[in-house]
Amino acid sequence: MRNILYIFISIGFAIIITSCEYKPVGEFERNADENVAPPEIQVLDLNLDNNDSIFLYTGLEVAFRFASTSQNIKNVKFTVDGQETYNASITNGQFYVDYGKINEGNHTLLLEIVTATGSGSIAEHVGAEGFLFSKSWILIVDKSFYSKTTATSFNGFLKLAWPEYRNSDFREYIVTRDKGSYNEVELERSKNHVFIDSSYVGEGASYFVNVSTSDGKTIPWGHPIVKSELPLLSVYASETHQYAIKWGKFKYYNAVRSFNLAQSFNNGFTYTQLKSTNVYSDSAMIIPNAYLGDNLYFLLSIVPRGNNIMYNPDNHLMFEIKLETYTGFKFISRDTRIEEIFQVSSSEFVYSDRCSSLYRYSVSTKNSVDYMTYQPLTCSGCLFIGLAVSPAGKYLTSLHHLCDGNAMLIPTDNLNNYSLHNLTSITLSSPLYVSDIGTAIANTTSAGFYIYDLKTNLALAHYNKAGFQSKGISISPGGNYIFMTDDSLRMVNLNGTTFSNSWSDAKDNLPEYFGFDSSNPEQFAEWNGNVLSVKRCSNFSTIYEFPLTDSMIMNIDYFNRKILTYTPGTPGHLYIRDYSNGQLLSTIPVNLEIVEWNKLFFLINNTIVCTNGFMDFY
Amino acid sequence: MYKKILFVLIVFSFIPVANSQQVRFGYQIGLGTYAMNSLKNINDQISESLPFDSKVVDNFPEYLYFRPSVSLEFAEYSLGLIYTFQSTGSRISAKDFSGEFRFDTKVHSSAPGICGDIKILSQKNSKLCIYSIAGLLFSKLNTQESLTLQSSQVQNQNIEFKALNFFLEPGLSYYYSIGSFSLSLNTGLFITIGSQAFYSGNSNKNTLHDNKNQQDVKPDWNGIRAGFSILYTIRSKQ
Repeated sequence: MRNILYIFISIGFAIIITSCEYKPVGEFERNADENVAPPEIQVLDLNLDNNDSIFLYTGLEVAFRFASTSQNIKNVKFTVDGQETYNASITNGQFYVDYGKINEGNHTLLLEIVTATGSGSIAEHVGAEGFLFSKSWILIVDKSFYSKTTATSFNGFLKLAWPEYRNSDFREYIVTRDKGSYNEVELERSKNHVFIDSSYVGEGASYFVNVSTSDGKTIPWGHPIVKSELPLLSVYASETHQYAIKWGKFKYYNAVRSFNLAQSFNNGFTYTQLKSTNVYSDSAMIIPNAYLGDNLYFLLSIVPRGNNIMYNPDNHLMFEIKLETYTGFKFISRDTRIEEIFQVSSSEFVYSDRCSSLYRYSVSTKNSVDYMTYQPLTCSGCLFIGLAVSPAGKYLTSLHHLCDGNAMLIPTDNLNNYSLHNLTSITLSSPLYVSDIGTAIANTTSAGFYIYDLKTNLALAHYNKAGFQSKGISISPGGNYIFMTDDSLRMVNLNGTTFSNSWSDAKDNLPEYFGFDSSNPEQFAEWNGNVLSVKRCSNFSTIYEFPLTDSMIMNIDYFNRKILTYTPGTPGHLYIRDYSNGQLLSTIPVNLEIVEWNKLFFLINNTIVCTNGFMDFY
Repeated sequence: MYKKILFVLIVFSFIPVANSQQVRFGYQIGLGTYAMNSLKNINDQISESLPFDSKVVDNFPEYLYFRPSVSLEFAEYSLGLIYTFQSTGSRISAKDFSGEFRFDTKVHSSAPGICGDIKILSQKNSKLCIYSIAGLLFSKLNTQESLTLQSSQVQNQNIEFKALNFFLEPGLSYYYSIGSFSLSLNTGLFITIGSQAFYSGNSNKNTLHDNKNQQDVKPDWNGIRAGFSILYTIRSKQ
């Protein structure tokens, strides 16, 4: 037992001793100088501003060269917002600050130079010890400068202004103008960030502003594009019925040598000079021999005062403004002709525009007072065909439309309150002449005519004289008299469903002008070319008459008791006459030639309205 | 292969057990010198390659070895099993106000083997023998490289290598007996036999290489061994 104990003791002792593995010992204390003075860093070359701020307008190639008075430079590092941009263990070199990768705004550019300490320590030898020198700049990244160049007018000239280039390597700004085909012409080199182009007269231009730096770089700095802003030409009508042409306010008036105004008398093919002036304020003139409704063509040419690089015959259109217009006061917004004008009250008329819209216009307020449009989904083209107005202007009718077959009754006091009527069973052959009570003459092609009540959609009466084409051509305001033709020219009286003859004459004696008086429903006016007679509808007896020898009656404004007539000539003349006696009230010369089928002028409450969209007041 | 050799050693050493008179347990502590020439070359190269000056402050010095054994004792000779643990190491050092660099090498070996001695002289309680030990030599090498700067450890790398070779140690031993206990002094020459170099990982192709001398680094335990033993003999009852 004891032997076994000895054995275990021996084994345990052996294990303990065996665990005593050798452990290396000792250390070597090196010599190192902990207190070494730092060196002085010399900047031999660095193309960054000494200021605390650097403006970055494009990519920046930074070149540097540093030297140390004693200890060696071990490392040079540039960072932008802590992100390493350059890091190398050389004392001179270059690196690129990528403008495209830095957001607009303020950033920090940090330069760190590490030199050896000279202590000879372990840390120094492994690069973990050194003297650190640093300098930081605020790096201001500007990405919007290019769009900040402005073009404004200043003292009658074009003024370009751009933000200042703020780095110290600035040399000058170079301003060029695009002449087209990638051809730029240099206009100025300057240190000012403003350029006055004294040759620019508003013809439209494209400029380039570049910054030239001291190291020969060119930085695109701005590209202002100035839209053409030549003065607007317009024609004005005066109270004295004179017409003037005028050009409007003009930004670049001081750059102009002369304004040359010319007029064309052959629809714009050639122009004859009317006026030449170099006085900016002298911008208007009375148009000689211009009368109401004339179609005028003008051309204003601007001649620059300075040496405008674009001013040459090839580019003449850039310096010209053309105007085609009519004389008078415009009452429609578009430059278009309208087909017909219908007087509906003492001072209002209705006209159709583009065949699908109706406007009611007041000459007293000079405004459109009502508007409607009718455009069924399945329809296209002209929808208002054969328009007719009742004598007192209460209703307007339109023949059935080509696509949906509906006729239309339109109350003129509310155009949108129209009603549609299917009259396809009656093959209509002329406009629906309508009375002011809503009854209308529905002429057929071969079966006479019906008096049709458009309010009840009922045919009230039918007139047809066998063997003759019976045709109603006008209806009185009350709907009880119909001016018509069959074998004769007749005025018939409708009483219920029967017609009775009031008057008749030879069929060939159709007056040159006739119409029911809107103010006197029982009266009828007729003009035979020499005498205007006002008749009673009941028996066609003459109430009064007077000689009227003008060539053409344009219309009679029954509401205001006046007649508008026309006599051709050079110029021709419109005459406003008293309806009660033919007395001449006004004479209006016109250049337009008027024919019977194209009556261009209408008299409405002392206003002559022209179908070209212009009017004038008398 | 090595397991087979070890097995043969054990079997051969116990063949005479049937005829033995006594069993002797021993424990030896001794001091060995260790050549480690290749590792010393490595140390020199490391020291030279450092960017700062350094010194090999500890270079595989002589150090204790430990050697338990059990053997069968006959009239003129003895034969048994023996295990040897020996270690040494080195350090490359540099230290200043900024920090400290150390490259420590620790190498040890575990060497099971067979031992035998033959009596050449004897008196009443003492005898002088020649002995010989042979066996396997399992060597392990640990390197630790550390760099501390301003109290912060910036580098600490440990690599372990190993190698298996053979050894032979002939020598003289003197015994003095006091009852069942004996005291012994011995001295011998440790000879490393074999060609395997230190390698890391599981592949013996990842060898530790001496670039300067263009040779793989092998364990080199060659040196003098001088030890003192305490032995306890159990005598058989006949």
